[in-house]
Parts: sequence; structure tokens; C-alpha cells
Amino acid sequence: MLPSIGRRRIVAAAILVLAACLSLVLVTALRSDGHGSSRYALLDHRAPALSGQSLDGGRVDLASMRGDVVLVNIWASWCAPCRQELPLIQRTQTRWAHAGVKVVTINTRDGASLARDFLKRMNATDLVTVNDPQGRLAVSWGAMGVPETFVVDRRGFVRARRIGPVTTGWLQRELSRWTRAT
Amino acid sequence: MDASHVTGGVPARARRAWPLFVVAVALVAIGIVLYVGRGAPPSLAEQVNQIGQGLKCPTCQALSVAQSDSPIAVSMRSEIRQQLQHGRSPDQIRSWFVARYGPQVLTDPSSHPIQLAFWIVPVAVLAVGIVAIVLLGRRRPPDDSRRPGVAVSGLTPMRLAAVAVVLAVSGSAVGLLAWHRDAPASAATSRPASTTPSMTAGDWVAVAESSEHQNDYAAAAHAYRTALRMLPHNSQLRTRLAFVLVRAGQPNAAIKVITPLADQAGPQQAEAVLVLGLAQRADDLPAYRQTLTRFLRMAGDNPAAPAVRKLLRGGQ
Repeated sequence: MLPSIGRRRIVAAAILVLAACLSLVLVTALRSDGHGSSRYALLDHRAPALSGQSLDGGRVDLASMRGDVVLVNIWASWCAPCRQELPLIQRTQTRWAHAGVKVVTINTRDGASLARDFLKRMNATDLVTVNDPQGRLAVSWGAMGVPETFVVDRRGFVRARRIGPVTTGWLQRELSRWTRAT
Repeated sequence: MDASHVTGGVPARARRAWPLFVVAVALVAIGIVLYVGRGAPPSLAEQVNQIGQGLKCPTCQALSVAQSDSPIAVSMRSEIRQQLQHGRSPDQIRSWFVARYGPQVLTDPSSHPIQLAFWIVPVAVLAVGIVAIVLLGRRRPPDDSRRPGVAVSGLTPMRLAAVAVVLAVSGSAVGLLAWHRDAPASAATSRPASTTPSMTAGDWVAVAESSEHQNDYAAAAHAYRTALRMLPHNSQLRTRLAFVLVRAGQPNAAIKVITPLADQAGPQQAEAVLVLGLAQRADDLPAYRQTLTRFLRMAGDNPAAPAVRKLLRGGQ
């Protein structure tokens, strides 16, 4: 039989090993690194720059929209879910304007003429749309693909992100929340 | 004068310096060899590829930004190229992407400092604990028969183990808090829709057409190729792919793509023969004259026929 000193040493060593393994498992299991469920890196950070020429030749700058809640939507004419979602984005612009919500869309990796034709067909030419032919603007927002939508609060911080088509419920929830916030 | 420090006419100090001199010469020689043999600096494309290999495509499974043809990966490569042209270093570029996509965008996350902490904490706790146990054993006074297992400082192994558990758990908690940076309740990221990862062939054709409109024929070729993988028997797709490959300056690849279709009787054959002829001409192959003549015989009333006749007459 081992002396009590040796037994205690073995027990202490075993507890140390167990603690190290548990902490390793804890860290590995709770850390999320799947791209489907990972936290958006820019959430609650100041929104990236969004400025450039709009499809109708005007100038757009997100920084000039402080004081408004801004819905930023990324889309492309070749994206089928974008085509389905666009009418809802357009209705959002109309319905929430009185609450101080602005809508800016980013047309990414698309031909400008294709995008204009598409907006015309959808009767959505009043949507403010920034041209992003190489997709670098979308990447600067950490976009995973299209469509993707962000909510920027009145102070210019990104407060929500939706991958995939938005729903009426999501828009209602997020825009209500951030139009009420100061 | 004491001559004992001189041997064979060489001063003792000089003899002691010989090994240092040899080492210095060897180091200089190695330095010269390394400098000369380092090769030409990598091109911009190579640098883009190298950085792209270190970034994961956000919407692809197990593909790097360098490997993926998805629109987002193509855009990320454009961004890398732009930043390199503006003089940013690879580390700065990687940090830029980490700021937007999180450390998980790196294919080698252990290269990011915060990731190392997750591995160091448990290992460090274990190492400290083992060292402490060993030291405790050494410190134990010889006459420990009356108070076995009690070190001079009063720390028993059991108490030490308990402290180690607390340290390991609290260290991991600190690491996790630093990782997440905020309470989970404020996160508003929804489950991803299966949009980009499940793009249809039609979506890829639309991407290709859009790229053609932008005169980005390389991107159009990528997109048509992806669509063709999904619909391998689609002759129109094959013809379009070959055509944009010619426009993208890849006539040899275009010839490989279109030749099977040009030899196959069918409604697309005339167009395939036309594209084959254009690809052969772009590749400086004399066979182009015979191919384009064959096209004119098959489809003399095709809208492209007048331009082809002019080409054969040497007008272009």
C-alpha cells in the first residue's frame, strides 16, 4: 500500500490533470467557430464606411445619416432570394420613414445596367443604391453573401445583422427596438 | 621578454581569435548564399494567393479564399489585391479581415494572439502545478514522520490541487469573456439562410452574365465553369464558357472545353465550331482558317458570318 504522502501526491496530480483537461474542453466547446453560428465581428461596433456613387448618379454617405436608424441591405440582381426580398425592403422604406428610418442598399458584384434594369422591373427605382461592382464594400461589412441586412443605430453603431432574406417579424423587432433607443 | 605566449611565430591572442574568425566568415558566407538564393520577390498575384490561402471562404466548407470561386471569395481576393497595392502588409490585411469576420476567418487560428491564450492557460496551470508538487516534495523536512504531507509553507498537495482547479476554471472564463467581448443577449445574428452555399446553376449563370457586363471575363469563366459542373451536358453553357475563356486570354483552355462539342452533331455545333476557330486564332494555330471555313459552310447565314468572312480575307 502506498504511503499517505504518495497517495496525496497522486490525487493532487490527478486533480491537476483533470482541471487542465476540463478547462481545455470548456474553452474548445464554448468557443464558437462555425461560420453558421459565429458572432458577427462588427456587432455593436461603429459601422464601416458606406459611401459612393448611387445607381442614379447621386452621392451616398452613411456618415451623413447620424440621427437616423439606417437599414443597410446588400443584394445582387443574380441572387434569387434578393429578388424575392426587395419588395419588402422597399415597403420598409415607405412604412418606417416617419420613425426616422432610412434605407440604403448595396448592389454588389453586379453590372450597373443590370441592376438599374432590375430595379426598374421591380418598381424600386426610389431605393438609394450604392454600386459595389467588385464586392469590396460588402466585404468591408463582413458580409457572408447575399442577401444580407444590417441595422445601424442613430449613433452609427451596427446593432443587428441578418444573413439571408429578412422577414417582416425581424424588421418589426429590430427597427422598433432601435428607433426607440436614443 | 617572455615568448611563451607565441607559438610558431603566431601570437597566442591571434590563435584564440581563429575560431571566431572562422565562425564570422562562415556566417557571412551563409548570409550571402541565403541572400542570393532567396529568389525573385513574389508577384502581386502570388501574394494575393498566399494571403488568400490563410483566409477561410466564409460561405464554403473547407475552402480557402484562394481556392473558392464563390462571389464573396472573389471579392475578398479583390480586396486583398487592393490593399497590397496600397502598401499594406500581409499581417495588416489579415487583421483587417479578422476585424470583420472574427479570428475564425483565419485558416490557422493559432496565428492570432488571442487564440494562443486558450491553449496556454490550461497548459500553464498544469505546468505550475507539477513544478509546485515537485518543489513541495523537495522542501519537505527530513523529520516529517509526525506531520506527513505538510510542506514548510503549509500548502498541502490537496490545497494546491484545489487552487489549481480554481485557477484553470477562472483563467478559461477570462479567456472566454475576452473572446466574446459582450453579453450574448445583445447578439442579433440569426441562423443563416441557405442562400449562397446552395446557389443554383441558374444563379451562377446570372453571376457569369453580370461579370461579362463588367468585362470581368475571368470571373465569368469561373461562374460558367461552376454552372457547367452542375449541368455537365448543357451545350450552351459549354459554348459560353469557351467564349469567355477566349476573352479572358485563355484560348488553350477554351479549345479543350469546346472541341468535344465542335465534333458532335447537334444544334449547338455551328456555334461551337465558331468559338473553336476563334480560340485557335487567338492561340496562333493555323488550323483556325479551316475551322472558320467549316463554320461558314454549316451556318452561312449566321449573324457572325460576315465578320468571319472578313477575318478570313485578312481584314482584321
